[in-house]
Amino acid sequence: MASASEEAMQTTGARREIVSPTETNSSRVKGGSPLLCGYTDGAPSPLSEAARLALGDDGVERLERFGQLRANWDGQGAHTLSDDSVAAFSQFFRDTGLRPDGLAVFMSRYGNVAVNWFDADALVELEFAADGVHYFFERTGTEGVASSYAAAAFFEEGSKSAVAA
Amino acid sequence: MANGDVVADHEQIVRALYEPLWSAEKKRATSLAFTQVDVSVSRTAILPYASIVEIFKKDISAASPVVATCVTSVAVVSTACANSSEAGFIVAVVEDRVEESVAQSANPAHAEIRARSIADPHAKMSLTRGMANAILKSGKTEIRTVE
Repeated sequence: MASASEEAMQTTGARREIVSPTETNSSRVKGGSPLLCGYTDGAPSPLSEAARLALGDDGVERLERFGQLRANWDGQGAHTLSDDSVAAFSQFFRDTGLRPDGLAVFMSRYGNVAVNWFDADALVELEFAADGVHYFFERTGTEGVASSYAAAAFFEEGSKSAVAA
Repeated sequence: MANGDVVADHEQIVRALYEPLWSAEKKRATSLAFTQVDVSVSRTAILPYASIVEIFKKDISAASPVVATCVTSVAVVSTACANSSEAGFIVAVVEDRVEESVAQSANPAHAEIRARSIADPHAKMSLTRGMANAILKSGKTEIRTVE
């Protein structure tokens, strides 16, 4: 049975609100490690401090490697890492302050950042796409898409156990 | 059998898991590894596991290193997708032998997990995350580190 907060997210997800793309500074990258250190022209890293804490050093380095992958990395037309998805991911973790234990970061063939972790032995998976945050909760078997704002609100209310002290 | 024929439930199939869909550090994949349209798998009834892995390494490693494989069965896919009709599509594992080309090696064991709309059999669909997760988590699924 879904919790009240999960039901709220499903309801919100049904509206399929569109998330406005966030501007990023990728065009100004001149090399190095912008996710870790920011941009060479002094612009800040697109990753919020909260997102870096959630990822951990290994996760940030992994995301950096994703940024180096060329288009068609799967041999089937996969996209490069999406700046908009990185920005949405960053903002989500800044808004929620979530810091789940054992969070793993992935990239979809569309270049979207995806993360998953176990909450009480049940998988939680999120993908930060152009149309919102795609979510999957193994515990209830529910999945859908919600606006970034709605998803953040959901986690602020419903997943306190995963939030770092 | 010919391309397009349905693969029997008892057959074992192998899916390549590679960065960025697989985390060697966390030793788990994302369900996205099984949610793309027409998921590539290979049949151990046609080629030995080691030969399949060599094809994966040759064709995929250049862009993104193969680090693991998910070994499962057609039966697991069928079970995980048993309720797909409620979502408006049907799922089948079908033969899809690949000939040698510039882009890829010959793979006589190649098959695809295909989801097609019930309303329009030509419309390609993808598995839900729940179905994909069930395949990954199945007791008959194992992860083997290749590199």
